[in-house]
Amino acid sequence: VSEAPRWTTGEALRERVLPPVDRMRLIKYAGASGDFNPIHIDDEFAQSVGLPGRILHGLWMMAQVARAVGAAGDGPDALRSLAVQFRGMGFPEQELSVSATVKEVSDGTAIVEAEAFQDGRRIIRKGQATLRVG
Amino acid sequence: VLYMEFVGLRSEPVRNLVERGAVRRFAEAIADPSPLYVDDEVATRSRYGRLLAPPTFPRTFDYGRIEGLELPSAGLIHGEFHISYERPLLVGDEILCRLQLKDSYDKRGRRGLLGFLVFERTGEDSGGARIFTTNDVVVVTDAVRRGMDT
Repeated sequence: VSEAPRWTTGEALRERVLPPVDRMRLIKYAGASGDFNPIHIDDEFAQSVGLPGRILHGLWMMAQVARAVGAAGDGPDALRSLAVQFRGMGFPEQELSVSATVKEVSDGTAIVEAEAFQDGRRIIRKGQATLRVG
Repeated sequence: VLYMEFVGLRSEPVRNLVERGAVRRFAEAIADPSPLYVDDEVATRSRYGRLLAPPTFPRTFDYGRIEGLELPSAGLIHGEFHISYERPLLVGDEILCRLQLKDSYDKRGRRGLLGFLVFERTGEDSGGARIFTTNDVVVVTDAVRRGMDT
């Protein structure tokens, strides 16, 4: 459990880069989340419906944004809300980087904006988190 | 507009338990190493005094069904997801979950007619106090809609 961060408006938080994800972890995520859609775990099936290959679960990527923002702040229990828009397909073979900027700090609450990218493509946009600070 | 007759309807509430093993497996699957999800000692010393569930854990709950609402089984796209917490989910919580179709609207874009369905999911504690609310927007593409008519 970290010290409460002292953020200032406009401050860029440390970018987080996630390494490629192996198939076993995504199978575990399918089991843990109950989302067994085969486009996330079966390359052949994904290609049969016109995708280049398996794609990441949207909420798996959202979990990475939540983790990045929570870890930059006072931990996951400080997160009060998180909103994201999914704008591109995430591929398990590629790194996923999450960047975040402090938009506002007031009265013990911070608003942080976040985006996620793969290989220069924006996968998640208009991420916005509200966190307890201090 | 798709499913207009279902807008405003809710599921019957379903009881869900935030189970320790499920939280551990979920945290492992999202590769989140925070000890607050798995380490009792760290959790005891934390603000809430108990093990926590990751912020996206509500994805795992059963929210029940809206009577008669049958979505296409494939091809739906998740457009947006919002979650807000009154307090974090804690291991051992018993949560009453339900689902509502909040809105349905169409937009015509470059890729044809898109349908947007807005679902709200809520979790309350056994005393009826709200713990979390999620809103997700599901996009029904033109191709999926055409498949529904046949």
